[in-house]
Amino acid sequence: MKRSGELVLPLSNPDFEILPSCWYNYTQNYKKNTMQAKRHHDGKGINAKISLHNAPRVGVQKFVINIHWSSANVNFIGDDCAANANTCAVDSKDAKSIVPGDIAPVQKPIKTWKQRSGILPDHDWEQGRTNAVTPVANLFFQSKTTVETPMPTEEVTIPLLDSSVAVSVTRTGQAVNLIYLPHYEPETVFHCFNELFLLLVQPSLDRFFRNPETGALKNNFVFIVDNGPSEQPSSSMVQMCLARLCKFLNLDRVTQVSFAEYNSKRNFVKRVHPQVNKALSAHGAFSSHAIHPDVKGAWRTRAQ
Amino acid sequence: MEKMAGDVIDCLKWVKFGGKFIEVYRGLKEDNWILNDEADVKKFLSLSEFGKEASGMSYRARRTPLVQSLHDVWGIDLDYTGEYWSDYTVIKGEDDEERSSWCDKYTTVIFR
Repeated sequence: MKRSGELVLPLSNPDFEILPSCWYNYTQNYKKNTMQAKRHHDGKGINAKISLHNAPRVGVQKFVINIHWSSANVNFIGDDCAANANTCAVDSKDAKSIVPGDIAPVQKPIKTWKQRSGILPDHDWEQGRTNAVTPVANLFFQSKTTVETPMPTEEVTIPLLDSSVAVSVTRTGQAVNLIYLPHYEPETVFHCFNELFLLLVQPSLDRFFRNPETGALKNNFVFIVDNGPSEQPSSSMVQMCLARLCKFLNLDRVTQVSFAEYNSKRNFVKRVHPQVNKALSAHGAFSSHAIHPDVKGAWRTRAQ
Repeated sequence: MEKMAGDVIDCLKWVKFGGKFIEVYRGLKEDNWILNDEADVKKFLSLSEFGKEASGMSYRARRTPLVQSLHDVWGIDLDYTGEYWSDYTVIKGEDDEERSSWCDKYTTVIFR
């Protein structure tokens, strides 16, 4: 394990980092006298130095005929906006799963090494909205394009003139989470629509909406969403809202685009969720019975 | 529950994504919404095509503190009013010869 890491590191890019736990996972990840040890031919003088663990069972269960077209469309829109960053604001948004009160906010599937009857579904946890908080994630999208070969450089001219170069594109940006109480504030079309105005007036997000050349509002808005009922682009209610937004903010173009069914995991904002999950998991359960110090109400005066 | 929302905000403030801290805010409450006429839009959409044109329904932006901030920052019209029918013609793209929208299952684009 150690040797493989020492071999790889001098040969790789200077900014490539790999943890020792990762070397372990990819080389000798089994305990003696276990099923995995048997699969790795332990004690027979054979060591393939590769992991024979199963890949995580999170694959796509259903083949969707439109997936290539819809992903290519979103990627094209992303590239187009990256090339015209001064006039385009891209907001990739998704309601992250709920944070239930009084129980662990991130539930871990147990005994993943045991055979299960299939793939882990995405939404099989506690879904009650009564004592819960929902963070809605927005990613103000920026693309980072880097030429990998022949020499790593960050200077890229689009469109590419030379087909011999390899280019890697990182979809990143500023992540914003808005926290809602879903029991009182259900996720409706107008709820999603009005939250944009809140983001528009935040001073720290001003740079994503302001055209640096003219100092005015960017005139091209793109929303990358999931196919949820409150935001799916084919809903006529959503279309009415978009037409209204275009006139209200005096924009040139408003685009709402989604991925095909079962493939919302390709939405860029989903990359934010693991980081959020990590923090929530480290925090542990949130109490839903605690009382806010500034609370005002009739019951409080009675209690006193 | 507000306390719990505050706790979640405090917890998420320290999350980093792409080398930057993520920003966390308490979401917008319904009394601060600028446009809040979902029931009317539903009613309008349930009418027949002729009924839609004849309905003459309109909406206006509500005077909330948020619309005042929008006006201060971006110069948005405080007394904005719009008509459902004119929004609807934009979606249908039957306004004039130029296309004003593109709608399919996964995409909606509104042009002006």
